[in-house]
Amino acid sequence: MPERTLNDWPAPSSGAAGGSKGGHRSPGLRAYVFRPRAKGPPLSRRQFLNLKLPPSHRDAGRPGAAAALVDGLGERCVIGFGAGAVGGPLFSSLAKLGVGKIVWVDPDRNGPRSHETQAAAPEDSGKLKALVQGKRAFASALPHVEVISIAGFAQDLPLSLLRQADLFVVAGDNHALRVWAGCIAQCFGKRLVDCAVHGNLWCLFLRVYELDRTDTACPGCGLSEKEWQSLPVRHGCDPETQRVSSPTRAVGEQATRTLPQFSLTAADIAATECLKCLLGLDAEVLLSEELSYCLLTHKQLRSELHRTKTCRCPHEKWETVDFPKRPEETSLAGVASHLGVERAQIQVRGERPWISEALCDACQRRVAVRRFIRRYGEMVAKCRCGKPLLALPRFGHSVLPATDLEASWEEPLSELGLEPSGEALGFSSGEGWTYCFFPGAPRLPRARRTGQITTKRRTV
Amino acid sequence: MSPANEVDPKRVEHNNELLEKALERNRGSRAWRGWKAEQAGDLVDSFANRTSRLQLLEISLEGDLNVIYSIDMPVPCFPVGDRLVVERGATFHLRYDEAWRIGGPPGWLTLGLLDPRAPYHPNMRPSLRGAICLGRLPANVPVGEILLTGYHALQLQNLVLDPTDPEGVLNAEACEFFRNHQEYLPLSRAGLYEVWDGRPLHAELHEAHRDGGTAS
Repeated sequence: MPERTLNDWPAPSSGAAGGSKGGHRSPGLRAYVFRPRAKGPPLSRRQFLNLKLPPSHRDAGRPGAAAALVDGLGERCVIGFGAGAVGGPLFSSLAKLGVGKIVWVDPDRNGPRSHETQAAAPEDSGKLKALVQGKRAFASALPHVEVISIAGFAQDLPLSLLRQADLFVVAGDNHALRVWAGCIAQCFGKRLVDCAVHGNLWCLFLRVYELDRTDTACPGCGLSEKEWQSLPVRHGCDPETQRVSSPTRAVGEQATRTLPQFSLTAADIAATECLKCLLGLDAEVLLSEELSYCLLTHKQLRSELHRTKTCRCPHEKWETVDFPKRPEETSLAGVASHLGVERAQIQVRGERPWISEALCDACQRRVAVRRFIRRYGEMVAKCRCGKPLLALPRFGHSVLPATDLEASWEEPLSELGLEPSGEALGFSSGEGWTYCFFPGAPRLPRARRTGQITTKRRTV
Repeated sequence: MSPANEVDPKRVEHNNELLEKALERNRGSRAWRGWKAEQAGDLVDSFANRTSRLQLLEISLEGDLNVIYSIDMPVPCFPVGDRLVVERGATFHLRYDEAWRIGGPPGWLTLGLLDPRAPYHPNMRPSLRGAICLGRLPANVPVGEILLTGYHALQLQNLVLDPTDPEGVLNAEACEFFRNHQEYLPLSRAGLYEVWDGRPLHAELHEAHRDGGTAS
C-alpha cells in the first residue's frame, strides 16, 4: 500500500476529497421566481371584478367577497414548507386567492409514482417539487401574485426572507420540519398553520399555532420524549452532504400513500384557515386548536393545544430592528451602540457559522481568521507560507467567542464576512435576542431558468 | 473503577475549579444556561473525576458549550507501509450549539480531534483534519454520550467498514485498510473507566501468540 500522509489529501473544496461517503452534494437553495404579470400595486376592486378569470375562478364566491379578498390579501406574504400531496394544492389555492407574495420551499423531487397521489403529471417524475408546484401555482395565480418556489431545505432560508412572512404554513412529512417551523414562527411572532393527512385512518389534521404569543403551544409541545428521540435527521456526514438530498429520487421520509382526495380536502381546509388568519377573522380561526376530521365517518373533533413546560423549544420572540447602514459602513460596536446593548454582557451570532482560527497543514501555524463562513471546508484565507487555510469544523462557533468579539469589535462588518445586503446579526445581553437586519434584499441563488418560465398571459 | 484508575485529588480539585470558572461565565437564555451547567457538571462528575485516563483541559460556557479534553487511549494514525501507526493519547474538542437541542447535530460537527494531527480512520475524512463522524445523533443528545461515542469510535470499537453503506465511511482508503487488517479491530477493548496499559490490543495479542499463551 502506498504511503500517504495527511498533507497529501486535497482540501474538500477541490472536489476530490478522499472519501466515498454515500449521499449526494446538498443542492443548497435554488429559487425560481415567478414575477407578477400585473405591475404596480394590487388590483383595485373594479379591476378585480373586470378580470377575465379562468373558469376555476368564476365561482370563487360572490363579487363582494372576492373584492374583500383582494383588498386584504394583496399585500400579505405567506411562506410554506413542503410541496407534496397537501402542500402543493395548498400552494396553488393561496395563489388563486390572491395572496400578494407566496414563498414555498421543498428540497425533494417527484418520484415515479408521485402523480398517483400528488398534483403532478407522470412526466414530472424526477423533477423538483418546488419547480413543478411553483409552475402550477403561478398558472392559477391572480395577476398581481408573486410566486417564489425554492428548491432546498427550509432551514437554509435567509432570516430576512422569513421575516417577510405574515403567516407560516407547514405541510411537510416530518416532525423535525414542524418543530423548526414552530421555532421560527415564534421568533418572528407569526402564526403557523400545520396540515397533515393520515391515510390509514382516513383522517386529516389541521392545527393553528398562535405563535404571536409566547405562552401558547408550539409543535414541539406535542412531542413525547420518544418522538423527540426519533426526530428524523437529514444530515449527511460531512459539509458537502450537510443536508442529504438526492438529485434523482424523492427523498421524503416516505412516499405519500394517502388517497389524493384526502390530501386535496386537507389542502382546501388549510387554505380556508390561512385565509381567515390573513384576514384577521380571529373569532373563527382554530387558534391553538387541532381539528381532526375523519373522511370515513365525517366525524370531527376539535381539541385544544396546550403548552407543556418540558418543551425544549425556546418559546422566545426576537426583537427585530432595521439597521440603516450597510455592513461595510459599520462595525459590531456601531450596531451595539445603535441597539443600546452593553459590551460587557454582549453575545453575537449570525446566520452562518463563525470561524475563529485556521490551521496551516504545511507549516502547522495557527492563524486567527475571525469571520463568518458559507460552509465548512471552504478556503478562508492564505497562510504566510502560501498554502490555503480551510474553515475546519473544530474551529467553528455559532456564537462569537469573547476573545474574537474583543478583537473584531471595531472591524467593519464586511471584513467579518457579512454579505453586502440582506443579512442579519443577532445580539443578546441576557435573555432575549435582538436581530439587526441590514438593508437590501436577501441573497437567494437563482436557478438558471429563472424568469424564463412563462405561462399563458391573462389580460387585465 | 479500579484503584489504578482513581483520580488524583489534586486533579479533582482542578477539574472542579475549571467548572466553577466556566459557570461564572455561563451565558445565554435561562434554559440554555441551565442545560450547559447540567451537562458540564455531569462531564466533570461522571467522567473527569472518575477516571484518571480523561483529563479536562478547558471548559467554556460563554456561547456554545466548548470542552477540550484528552484521553489516554490508542489512536490509529497514517500507516507506514502495511503497519498502522498507533499513537498514544488523543485530545478532543467537543462543541455543542444551542440549536442542536431541538434539531440534532450533524454527526461530524460536534467532536473534533485536535491531536494527533494525522488520524487514519474510516469515519474521519482526512481533508476535514480531525472531524469525526459519529453518525446520526438525536436532538438533545447528552454531552457524555458524544464523549463516549467518540471514544469508542476512535479506538475502532464502533465503526462501519462497508463502503456502499450510505451511512458509511468517509475515508474509503482507511476502510479498505482495516478490512484487510482486522487484527487492528479494535485497538483496545478497554472501556473508559477501565485501566488501559498503554499497549494496543494487536501488540498484546502478538506478544501472547509469540509466547505461546493467550491474551486476557
